[in-house]
Amino acid sequence: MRSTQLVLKHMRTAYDVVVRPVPTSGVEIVYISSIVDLTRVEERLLKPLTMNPLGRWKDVEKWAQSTLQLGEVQVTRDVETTVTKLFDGHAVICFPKGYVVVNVQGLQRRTPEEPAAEMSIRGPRDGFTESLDTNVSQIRSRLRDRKLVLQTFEFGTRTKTKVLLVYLEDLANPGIVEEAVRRLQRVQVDGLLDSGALEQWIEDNPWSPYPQLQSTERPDKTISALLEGRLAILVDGSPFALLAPAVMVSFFQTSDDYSQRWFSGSAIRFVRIFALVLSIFSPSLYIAFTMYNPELLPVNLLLQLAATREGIPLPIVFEAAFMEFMVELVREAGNRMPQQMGQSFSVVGGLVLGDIAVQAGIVSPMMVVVVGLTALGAFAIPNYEAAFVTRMIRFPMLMATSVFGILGTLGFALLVFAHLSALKSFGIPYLTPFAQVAYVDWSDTLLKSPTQWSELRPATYGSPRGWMRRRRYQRRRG
Amino acid sequence: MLKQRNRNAMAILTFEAVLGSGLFEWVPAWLDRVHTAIWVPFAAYVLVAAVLSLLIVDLIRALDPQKAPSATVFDALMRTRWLSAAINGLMLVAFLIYAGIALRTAIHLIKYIALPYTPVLVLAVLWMLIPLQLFSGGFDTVLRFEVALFWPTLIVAIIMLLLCLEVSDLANLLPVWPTDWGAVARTLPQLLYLLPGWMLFAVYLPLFRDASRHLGSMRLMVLTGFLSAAALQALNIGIVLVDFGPYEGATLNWPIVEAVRIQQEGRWPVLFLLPILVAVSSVINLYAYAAYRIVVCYTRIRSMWVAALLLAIVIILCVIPESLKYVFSGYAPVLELAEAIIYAALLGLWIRTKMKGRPRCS
Repeated sequence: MRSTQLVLKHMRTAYDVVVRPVPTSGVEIVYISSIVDLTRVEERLLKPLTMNPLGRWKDVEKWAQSTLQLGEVQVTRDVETTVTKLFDGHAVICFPKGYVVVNVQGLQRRTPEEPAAEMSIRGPRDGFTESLDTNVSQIRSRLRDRKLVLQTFEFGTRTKTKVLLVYLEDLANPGIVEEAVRRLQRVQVDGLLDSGALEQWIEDNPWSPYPQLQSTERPDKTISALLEGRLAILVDGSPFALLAPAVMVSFFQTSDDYSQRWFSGSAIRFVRIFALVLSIFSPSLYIAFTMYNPELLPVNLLLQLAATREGIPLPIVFEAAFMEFMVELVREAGNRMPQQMGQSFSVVGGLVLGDIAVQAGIVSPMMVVVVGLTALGAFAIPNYEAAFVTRMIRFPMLMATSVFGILGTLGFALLVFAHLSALKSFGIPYLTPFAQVAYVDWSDTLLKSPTQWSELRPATYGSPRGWMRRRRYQRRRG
Repeated sequence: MLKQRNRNAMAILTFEAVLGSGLFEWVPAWLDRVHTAIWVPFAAYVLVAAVLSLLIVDLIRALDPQKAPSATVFDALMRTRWLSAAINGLMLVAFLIYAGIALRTAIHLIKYIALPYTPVLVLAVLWMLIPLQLFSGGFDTVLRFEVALFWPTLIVAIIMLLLCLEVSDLANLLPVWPTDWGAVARTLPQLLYLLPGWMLFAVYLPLFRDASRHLGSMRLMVLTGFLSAAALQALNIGIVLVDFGPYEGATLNWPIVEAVRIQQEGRWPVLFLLPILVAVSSVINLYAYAAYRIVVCYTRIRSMWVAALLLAIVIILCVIPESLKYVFSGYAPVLELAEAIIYAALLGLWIRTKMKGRPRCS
C-alpha cells in the first residue's frame, strides 16, 4: 500500500518494524515490536479490525471510537506525525487515504526501588525510575493538588526526549517559572539522554564548579521542594529529577531531617556541616599546623607528629596530595567496578594500600588518618555533586596552604566565598538566606527548628508566603 | 523573594564601614596622650559619629525616590553638576587611597604575625582577586559577601577577645577621671581620622534608598550598626587597658594583637588574624567598589577592565610607600584635604536641604 510505503520510507529502519496486513479490512498495521505491548496489539487492535472493517474513510473517526477500545486514538493524514508517534510506542493503521494512530505502548519499565545514592532511614523507600510516566504517577499519588502544573517540552532533534517542568502554580515564583521556560526553550540538542546534560544547558554559570540545580532520585524530596515553591524538571529516561532554584544549604538537607524531631534533625545537620568543614579544611590545616604554625598545636602532639614523619622522604605537601589522589583513584575505580567487587576494592584500597604506603615509608600514619577523615567527611555530604566539588577544591587549597600557611587557607576560602557570593541559581543567590540576613528563614538551615516554629513557608526560593499568612490571620480571628 | 538590600544588611554594612576604617592603630597614640582617660575622646568620637550618621541619613531621606540611581548623595542633591562631579572625583581619590591604606595595613599585620618574608606586592595582588570576582556581580554580590561572612567572623572575634580577659587586672582602668584635660583636648582633632567610613555612606545609603521604600527604620539600623561597632571598639580598648595598662599599651604597635598573644603561650595571634583580615577585606571591598561605582556612573563603562584598572591603582597606592609609617604620613595631607571638603559639603548640603524644607518621603 502506498501509504504504508510512505511511512516505511520515513523510518529508515527495518530491524523491529513490523508490517501486518489485515486482508479482511484491506489495511496494514505498522508498529515497532520492541516498544509496543504485543498483547494489546493482538487483542485490542487486530481482532476488532478483522471483525469490523471500516466502510468509508469519512466515517473513520466514528469507526475508530466504536471499534478500537483503546484510550488514545488519532486520525491523521500527516506522515511526519505518524512516524513520530510510531517511535513513541504507537501502532499505525494505514488506510489508503490516511492513518489511524493508536497508543499501544509497552516499554519494559523498572519498578521503583530505593535510590542507592540517597538512602533514607525513616523516610519512604521508593525512588524515581527511568520512566517519565512512573515518575509522574509517584508525584501525583502524593500530591493531589489541582494547582500542580506539568508543562511538557521535547528536546533532541533525534531523541525526541520528553521533559516535564513541574511546579505548583500558586507557590512557585512566576518570575522563576518564566525564566525556567525561557531557558528550556533555548535548549537545542540533537540528543538528550539524561537530566545531567540538561542541567548544564540551563544553569546560570556554566563555568562554576558548583552545582546550581539539585538532583534527586527521591519523589518525597521532589514534592517537598514543590511545596517550598521550587520547580522540578523530569527527563524521560533519567531517574534523577532536577530541583530549581538550588541554594547552598539545600545540598545539606535530606528527607530524613524532616522525619525526625528537631533535636535529632539538628544534630545530624550539625554533623554534616562539620563533615563539610573537615572535608575541605583538614588536609590544608594539617599542612599549615605542621609546616607554618606549629605553635597552634600542643607541644606533645607536635612531637608525636614529628616522630611519625621521621624518615618520610616526601615533603608533607606532596605526601598529602599523593594520598588525596590515591583516595580519589580508589573511589573512582570502586565506582566503575561491579558492585560486589567495588566494595571489596574499596576496602583493599582504603586499608591495605594505606597500610602498605605507611610501612613502605612513603606516607606518615597521621597523614592516612587525616586523608581518611577527609574522605569520610566528603561521603557524609548527601548530594553527590556537592560532595565532589568539596573534594576537588581541596587540591588548590592544599597548594595555597603550602605557600602561605593558614593564611593561604583563609585566602583561598575567601576566594571561594567570593565566587559563591556571585553565584545564583535561577536568579536566587546561592548563599540565600544567609546573604540577606533573613533571620526568619534561618530556622531551617544549619539547624532544624521545631516544626511549629517553621510556620512561614521559607522565602528562600522566592515563593510567596500568602496562604501561610492567611492561615495565621484566620487563626487569630478565631 | 528575599530582598538583598534590607534593614539588617544596612546595619551590617554600617558596622563594617565603621569598624574596618579604623584598624585600632590609633589606640596606642590615644593611650600615650590621655592614658586611662581614653574613654573621653572615645565617647566624643561616638557622639560625633552618631550625629554624623543621623545627618547623612537625614540627607538620604531627602532624596527623590522617583529619580534614577545616582553615584553619590552629592549627585542626587546638588544642582551644580560640575561641583558635584568635583566632589565625587575627590571621593574617588579618597576611596582609592583608603583602600590602599587598609590593604597595606593588613599586609603589614600579616607580615608582622605570620609571613615576614613574603613580598608586599604578591600579597596585594592576590588579595585583589577577591574584589575582582565580586565586582563582576555588582553591588548586591559585594553586599552578599560582606553580610554572609559577618556573623561567623564577629562570633570568632568576640570569643577570642573575651578570652583575653583571663589575665586582666581591673586596677589598670584607674584613674577613670582625666588628670590632664589639655591632653584630652589635644586628642580630639584625631577623631577625624576615624571618620572615613562615613564617606562610604554617601555612596551606599542611596542604593538602599533606591531599592527600598521603607525608610522609617533606616536611621535606627544605621545607628544600630554604628553603636555595635563602637561597642566592639570599646571592648578592644578595655581589653588593652586591663591587660597591659595605659603605659605598656602605648608602647605596643598592635596592642590588641599582643593582648591575644599573651594568652595560651602565644598560640592565638594567627587565629585572631583571621577575623581581622575578613574585616579588612570587607572594608577594602567597600572602598574599592565605591570608587568603581563613581567611575561607572560617570563613564558608563561597566567592565571588568575598569574594575581591574582601579584595583591596580589600589595595589600601586599600597605598594609605593616604603613602610607603613610612610603610608600614613604620605597620604595624610591629601586625605585631610579631601575629607575636610567632603564633610563640609555634606554639612552644607544638609543645611541647604533643611532651609529649603524639601518635602520628605516617609
